[in-house]
Amino acid sequence: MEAKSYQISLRIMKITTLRQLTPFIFLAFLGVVFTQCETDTVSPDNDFIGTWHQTARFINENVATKDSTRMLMQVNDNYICVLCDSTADAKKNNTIVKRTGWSFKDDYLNLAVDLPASWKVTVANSVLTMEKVDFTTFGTLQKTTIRYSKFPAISF
Amino acid sequence: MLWLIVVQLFTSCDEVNFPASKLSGTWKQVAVLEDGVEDPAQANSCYLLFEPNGICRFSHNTFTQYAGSPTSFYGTWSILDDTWLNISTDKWQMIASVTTDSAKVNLSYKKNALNQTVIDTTTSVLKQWSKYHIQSRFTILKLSDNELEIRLKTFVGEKKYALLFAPAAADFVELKVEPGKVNYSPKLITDDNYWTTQKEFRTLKTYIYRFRKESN
Repeated sequence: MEAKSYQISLRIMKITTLRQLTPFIFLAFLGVVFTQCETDTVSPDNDFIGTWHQTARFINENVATKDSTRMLMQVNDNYICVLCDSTADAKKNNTIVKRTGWSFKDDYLNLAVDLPASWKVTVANSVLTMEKVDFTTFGTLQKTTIRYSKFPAISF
Repeated sequence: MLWLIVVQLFTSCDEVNFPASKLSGTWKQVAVLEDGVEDPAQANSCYLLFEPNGICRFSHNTFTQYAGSPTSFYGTWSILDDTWLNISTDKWQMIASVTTDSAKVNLSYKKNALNQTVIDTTTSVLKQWSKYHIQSRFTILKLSDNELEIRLKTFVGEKKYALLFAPAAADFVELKVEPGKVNYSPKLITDDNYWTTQKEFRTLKTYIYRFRKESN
């Protein structure tokens, strides 16, 4: 009799515990439901930060002259990017150091100075490759690729 | 409750009608229909480049007859509720005024080399048109790997005097301004075309634009 009563009270305890846990299980389940469609965002932020020296430039995969408006590029973690402009005009006007903002959106790099064009960026083995496309006057697309290599940090 | 959860589980990842990812890339305009009638003159006149980060760039040669004019333009894009395509573009609103006594269009005048009084076109059109950047909402009719079809119901004037997508060169004039400044504007408004232009901003039409994918 006593054993039966013990079994009943144990069953009641189990039911009570289950009832208490049900809201938490439900909430956890909802959490799973509402997060299952999120995608992982990949941001090359960390690899992108640093000082970079331009080594090559290509137009539609053909070798082109380097872009002297950004021979050196320092990307800071405060979303400021410093470009070293070595054009004759910049030297004459003493405007070699140019600051601009940067951010990544949907894996594309927005450099404020280049908007509306944005860059597709890849970093591998201390080599930074930036690609962008622009319309030509004929309505065709022209792809510009700039390649940089890692450079020791410089204080401006 | 259990059924609700199951329904939620199986509907939360439904495929969207027109995923934004399909829009990324370059599109060539192949046809424009105005109230269902195709206008061959407007076909093949524009390229659109939708970039994944929400920037939309487009290219056309409407203003190439004016020295130093751009051939590529830009705005932003987004897809709303998997149904509508929002594109922001430059538009012009007519703000030309008429005199109260004789209902004549107000114009600016200047003296020419022969000391004759002539209309100062640049000064006049700058006072007659106001440029702004605004969003247009298109209904997506078709978006596949190769084809894009979008529809816009708007006023004739809103379409004619906007970069949607390649306006007709005849509706614009060249402005003689300093290099680097915008050197085109909608046409000069005079007594001859004031009321017809006003009517254009009060006439609704439905436009369908068709594009073919050029590259991803």
